[in-house]
Amino acid sequence: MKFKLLQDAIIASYRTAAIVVLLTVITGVASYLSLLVFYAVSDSWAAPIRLSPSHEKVLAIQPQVATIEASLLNQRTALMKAVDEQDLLKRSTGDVSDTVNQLATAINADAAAMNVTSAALGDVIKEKEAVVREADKAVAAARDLLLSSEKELAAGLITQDVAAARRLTAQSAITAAADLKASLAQLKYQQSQLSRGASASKGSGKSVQGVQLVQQQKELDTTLVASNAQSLLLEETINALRSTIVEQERLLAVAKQSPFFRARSEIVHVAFVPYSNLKSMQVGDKVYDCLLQVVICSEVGKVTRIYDAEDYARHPLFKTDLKGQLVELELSDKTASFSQVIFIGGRPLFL
Amino acid sequence: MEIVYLIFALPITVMVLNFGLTLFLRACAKSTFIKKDYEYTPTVSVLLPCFNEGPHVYETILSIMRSEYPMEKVEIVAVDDCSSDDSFQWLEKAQQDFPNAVRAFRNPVNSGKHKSLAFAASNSTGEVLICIDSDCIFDKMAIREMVACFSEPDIGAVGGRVGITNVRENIMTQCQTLVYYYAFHIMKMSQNWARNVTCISGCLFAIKREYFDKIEVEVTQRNWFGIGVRDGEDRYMTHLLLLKGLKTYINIDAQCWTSAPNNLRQLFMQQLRWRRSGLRDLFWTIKNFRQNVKVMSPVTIINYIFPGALTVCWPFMYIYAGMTAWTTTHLLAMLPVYVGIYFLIGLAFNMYVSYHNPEQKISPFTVSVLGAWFIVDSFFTTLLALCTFDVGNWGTRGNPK
Repeated sequence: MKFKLLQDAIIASYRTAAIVVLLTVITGVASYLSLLVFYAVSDSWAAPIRLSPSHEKVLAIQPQVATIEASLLNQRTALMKAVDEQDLLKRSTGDVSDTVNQLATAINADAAAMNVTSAALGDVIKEKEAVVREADKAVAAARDLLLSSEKELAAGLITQDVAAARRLTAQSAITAAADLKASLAQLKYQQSQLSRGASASKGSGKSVQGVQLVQQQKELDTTLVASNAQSLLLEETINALRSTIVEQERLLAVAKQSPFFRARSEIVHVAFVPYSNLKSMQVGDKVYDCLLQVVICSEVGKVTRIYDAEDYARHPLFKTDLKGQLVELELSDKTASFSQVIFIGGRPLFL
Repeated sequence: MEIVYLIFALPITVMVLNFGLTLFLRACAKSTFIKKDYEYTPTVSVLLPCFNEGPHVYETILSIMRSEYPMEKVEIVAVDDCSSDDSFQWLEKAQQDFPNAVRAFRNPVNSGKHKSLAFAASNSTGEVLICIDSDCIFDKMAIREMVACFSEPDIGAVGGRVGITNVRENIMTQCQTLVYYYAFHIMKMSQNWARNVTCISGCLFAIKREYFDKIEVEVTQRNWFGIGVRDGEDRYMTHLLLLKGLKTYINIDAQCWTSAPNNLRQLFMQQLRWRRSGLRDLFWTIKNFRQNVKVMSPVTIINYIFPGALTVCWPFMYIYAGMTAWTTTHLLAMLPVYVGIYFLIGLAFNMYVSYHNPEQKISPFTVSVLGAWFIVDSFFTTLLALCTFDVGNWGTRGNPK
């Protein structure tokens, strides 16, 4: 009897357990299949994401922003330096240009003066040559006098003193003639120097000094050209830096608008919305969170912003990879951010 | 690697290895096949339990009467288990038409196949009892082939091969044709080699009378916590014989034909019944594990435990896969491959049967559905079977009178 009662109890327990198991399985399978169908047709679901300062994407964006800021700072500094360098270069280029002009003017003036002096010297040389010719004649006469003095001295026609005085006079005449010739030669040399100097300033290369002057002039010209080239380069560098800075500032502004950046100091509630569901969404749409995935839903907030950047996430049921965008949420019930799925725009099954 | 991959890969690997081993035994091991003695012609009693079979039972009896066996040594003992249709009238007609061979009885109350068999056996005289189903048509060589296998010592029971008559009726029958063919030609070969077939189909089950008598009481009194068990008597009888140290064998040359379920309800109820009997046998084996280990070889123990354990695990694997979204992520993505494999299996099957059994040819495209059925069957049917051990009726033959 007891065994029979035990058997009946076992049977009863088994049947109860079997019913519970079967009902659970059937309910589970039916729910799963229903969810599959629901997610296949629903276009209002979104996956909430709670961005905290320790979120990996929040942490990842900070060094990126810092890098942009550092790069921007470097470029601004480089721009300032380039601008200063350009100013300095402009001033030195101006000085060099003035010097070149002055040198050219001086060279021309020198050449003109040399020409005049050379012409004047030419006249002097002619006069001097005439004098030299006269001197030569005097020298010849002096030499004759010397000869005759010797003869006369020898003949005793003149005294030693007279002979000596005659010799002195003749010698003075000869020396003076020689001096005249020397000075004439010097004058001719000076004249040739001046004419060579004047022609060297035109580039003929016949005077060392002239060549040196021309060399200096060329060096100054080269320095001027180099300065101009450097100035152009600096100009391009400055333009490039300016456009880069503008771009970096734009990038920085965009990065700072990202929710991941804003979440570095506070929790930001966003939701991933796949592209297929984004079409019907707009700022201001109400957000709903449901108790059993899709039923018993309540309003928990609204959409405050739709971000442009593309993002990726996994489908909450199918676990397939999806592309979409993030939307920012203003949640009245913060616990909704812990749900797997929320709905935007309306209750999914109107429940 | 995700554990789910291992969970699904392990049974598939085992199945593939088992397929390879059994194919090898089928093709290369001569010891897989018994030496038959066609000179051995004992008296045979064909036990025919019948329930709501209608005129088909008469066709069954006709097919037996056409057997190439000394018919003076054959008797047919038919027992109607309180059919609500005209099955018993047909049995009486057969008795009238073949008074020397056919005897018809009717149970006083609906008792189940196992008790009908016992009743038929108690009214039979043959040395060899052949238990059959009333919806089968017999090949003329079936009796001779089965009896010839008793030449080997210690053979307790011999089974035959079941073919499908309505092969091309619809997708379900085509799929079942492949499954039946695979089961008899391939799956049971390793068991044949060990002479330890774990389940001889009740469609065609030959047993020596002396051995039937030894197990009859256990078969008729079989119950589950006091609730009489009516299904899986063929599996239970086979197991009892093995526990007695006897051998069992399937002779694929002993052929009978049956109609496969052609609608989902019938198919599901049939599978549920078979699954329930398989799981009962599993838990019974675990319960009597020591006794099984004492008598049977390790290979046989593995054949008893492993497939059943896998069967129990499959639903939980599916639940786990569903909860982790592995199903939607991976299984759905691999569905074309999965379906393709079944298509290839169908092609291979057709190539083989074209030479051996062309009447069993199917469309490989429809076999692809088998993969989907396997998933549904291994989940729902197993769970339902586990939860309905207290159900006794078959569910496929209607209600008794």
